[in-house]
Amino acid sequence: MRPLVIALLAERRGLTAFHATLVFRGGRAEEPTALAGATDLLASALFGASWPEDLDPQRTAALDAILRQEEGLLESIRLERLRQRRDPAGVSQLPALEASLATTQSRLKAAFATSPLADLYAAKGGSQSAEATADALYAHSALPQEAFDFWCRTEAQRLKTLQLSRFSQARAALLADLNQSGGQGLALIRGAALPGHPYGRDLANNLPALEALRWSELRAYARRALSPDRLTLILVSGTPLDNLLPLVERHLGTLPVHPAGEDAVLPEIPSDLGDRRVQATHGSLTSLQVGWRIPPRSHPDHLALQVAAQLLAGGPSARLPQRLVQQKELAREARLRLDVPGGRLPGLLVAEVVPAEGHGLAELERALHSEILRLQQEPIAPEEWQRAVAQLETGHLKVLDSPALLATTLGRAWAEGGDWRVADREIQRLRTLGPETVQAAARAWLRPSHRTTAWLEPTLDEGLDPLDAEIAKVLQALAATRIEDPAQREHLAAEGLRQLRMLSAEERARTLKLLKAQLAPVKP
Amino acid sequence: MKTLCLAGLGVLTLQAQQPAQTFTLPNGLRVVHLEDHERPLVRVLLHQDLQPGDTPAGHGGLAALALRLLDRSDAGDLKATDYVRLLDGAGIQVDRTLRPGALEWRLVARSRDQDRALGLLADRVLRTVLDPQLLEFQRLACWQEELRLQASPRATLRQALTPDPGLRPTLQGLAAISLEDLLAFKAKVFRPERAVLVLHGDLGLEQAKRLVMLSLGSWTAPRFVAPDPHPLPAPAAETMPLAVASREPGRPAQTLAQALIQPPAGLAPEVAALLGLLVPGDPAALPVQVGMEDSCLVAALDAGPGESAPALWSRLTAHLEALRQRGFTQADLDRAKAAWPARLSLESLDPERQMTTALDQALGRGVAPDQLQAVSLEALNTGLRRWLDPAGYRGGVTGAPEPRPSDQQPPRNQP
Repeated sequence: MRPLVIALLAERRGLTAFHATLVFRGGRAEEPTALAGATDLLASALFGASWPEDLDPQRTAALDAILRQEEGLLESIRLERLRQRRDPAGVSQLPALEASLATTQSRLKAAFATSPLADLYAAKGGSQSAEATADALYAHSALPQEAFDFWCRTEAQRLKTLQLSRFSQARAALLADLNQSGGQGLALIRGAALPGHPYGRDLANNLPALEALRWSELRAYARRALSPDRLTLILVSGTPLDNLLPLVERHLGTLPVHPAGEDAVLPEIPSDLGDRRVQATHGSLTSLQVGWRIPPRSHPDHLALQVAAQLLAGGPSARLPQRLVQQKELAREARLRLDVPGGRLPGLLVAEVVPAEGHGLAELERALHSEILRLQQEPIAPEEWQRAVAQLETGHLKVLDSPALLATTLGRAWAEGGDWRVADREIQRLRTLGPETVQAAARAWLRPSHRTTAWLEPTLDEGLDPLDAEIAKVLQALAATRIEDPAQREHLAAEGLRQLRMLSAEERARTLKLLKAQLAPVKP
Repeated sequence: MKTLCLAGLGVLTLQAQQPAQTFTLPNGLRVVHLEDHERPLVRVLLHQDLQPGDTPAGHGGLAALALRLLDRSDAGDLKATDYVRLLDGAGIQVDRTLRPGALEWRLVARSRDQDRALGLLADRVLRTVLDPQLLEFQRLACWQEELRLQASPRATLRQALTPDPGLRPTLQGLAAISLEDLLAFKAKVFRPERAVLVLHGDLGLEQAKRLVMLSLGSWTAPRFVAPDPHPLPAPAAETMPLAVASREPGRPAQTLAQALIQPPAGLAPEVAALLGLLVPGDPAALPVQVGMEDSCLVAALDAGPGESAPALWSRLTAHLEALRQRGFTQADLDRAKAAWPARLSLESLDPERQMTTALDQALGRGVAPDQLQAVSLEALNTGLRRWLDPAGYRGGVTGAPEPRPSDQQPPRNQP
């Protein structure tokens, strides 16, 4: 059994408050498929608020009884809905079940105070938030310094009771969000680039599992996932460490370690899977996304790739915004994301480029690849190098200057790099890194065999410019002359338009003329 | 056996935060200085006041377009691309924001680059020549950005509720804006007496005075331009309810009601601060979610299964009205009074928030601690009733399957 690790990292004088971040290693990537969404639910249901009733040991049994009842009713309603779908003519139990659920939820509501500022942290002027990522769950709190002992007690109690009384609301909100937002573009490229890997999973594809997830299952998962051997505490405070440590040890040092709290074994994906391509209609924007499988943050090449990303898209004068947006006017915007969706395991460096009016995705893709080749092959100008280093340095100073940013940065370093010191080491290494190292890393990792390209185009009725709208109309009219089935006609027109969008505006205009000619009435 | 493993980053040698110091340049620019030598870093916030009269009738989106054009034009003798290269080359980070009542620039620079940072900010504000060749492109870009916002029904609704017409581009408004309008806007708005500069970080007071004098001392107000006698009124609710369909075929549109409630004129900052603590998150409002955005209360409610837009809107307003009628108790007030100074102490964690508070003080919107402690229960509940007066709601429903009947529409405008 590994020890509870608590790293107390920064002490700053002049602060009248403290910032604390609890980092639980694991995150979405370690969720079993049947528990997809569990990390997000824990972030909102457990760390979203601090209600006194949830943290009162005297009330645990009573609340548990109501929550078990609510769980049973929610499950019965889910099963009844499934049954109804199979047998719509059968007698429905839904009204009765829903009435019982409403009664149970009223009892649950009545168990909580209804006065404003009942939240324990809000009443002390504090704030709290939590975020779920692929690699970890982060729970942030900020409170006045004198509330430190109170914070230690509250967090220890939260982790002991794992009450999750807002489970049903949190699950409903998450389902609504996923239903509304649907699959995101990044999820598409993640899935294509990292097939079969938890990093490639899209929560929006696991809605049935999320709907079936029960309160008791989430609680059992929380016992494993939030076990203290997976926890690091990042504390930024104005009080000397010696005064704080006894309090931390007294409260958080006594948390029980769950016996099954070991890391999940995750599958590995070779970086050189081959050049992969995806084409999809999606949302209302045309865009090009190119993702390269890159090493995890702990890899020696990772920092060099971070600098490469800075050279390519760090600020408006970086290469992609300058060349693709400003000079060639091929793109409306261009940006890069590093470590998609996380940095603990091999992830992605993703370039997202939105074409300017009149430019196709093929043209954009060629221009993007030219820039990657330039980075790999041509010397990097000293002023360009200095710019990237200056930006990274300012970013680092900004992190050090803000306790919340500092805690998040150190927490990420621990969750992704395995050691909170990684963040500091990276900035030290940056000073000794040379352009050749960056180019070598770019050559090693940003190559076609590591690449996945996604062409995303709006659905037929979304975001069409006037030319495309006209083409769509003509294609549909042409299809109508040959095909009777409207769905088939729609599909054919959409596919035709998708292919024509690869052409430049001029070529599309010429094609439109030709298509219109085919529509002209035949002379007798 | 459990053990506690500890690691230290090393103790940082810091000094306590200095109190804010203020001075005014001869040209009328107010400056707030917050000294903090903890890091070799300087932060700058330039706040430029925006007023409803700055946007003439029929020119919705003028402020948004002006900011875009300003940002992309040449500054003094610097080409736009060189300007950006100089900023980037020194690692100076710039954020521009347009929000109700203000246009703001926030800069962060290493302290060794503070002269350059202030100089480049001055170039942008004082010496930018709006480039007429960029106008058409930026007009289109402005509208495209607006369309992109509309990809989400929630964002569409939020934008539709924005009270400041300059911040809410419309196709007709953008099309009507000429270069002359933009120049007039710039002359009217970019005046030192309508600006506040906040400096934070690794620079002393004397150094700050020298730096500001050198960079912004020559900022002279252009000829005074009288406010438009017919300013564009805040957008009325005739655009609402918004029946925004789902942007993802096959996915149901989310029906959502939202109300934006501005604080009533004359509400004391101390009462507003206490209500800002008590109203958001008050369980009495649930399931309506109430939050604070730019000093306004924003209430949102998702529709239940099969719930119609009129029923949803009625439910939202009924919850808010119940909260308004119920009021707060002395115990609630005491809790809020205790929480407020504690919350203030959290500012030491956030330099940007310290700057915002200093700005509020400079603009006369600051909270006086002794006056806050003196607020009575009656004053609090009177303030609540005024703030949650339904006549002041700007509301709408989006993702709605059908428009609401006219008799149930939210009021058309703020009084």
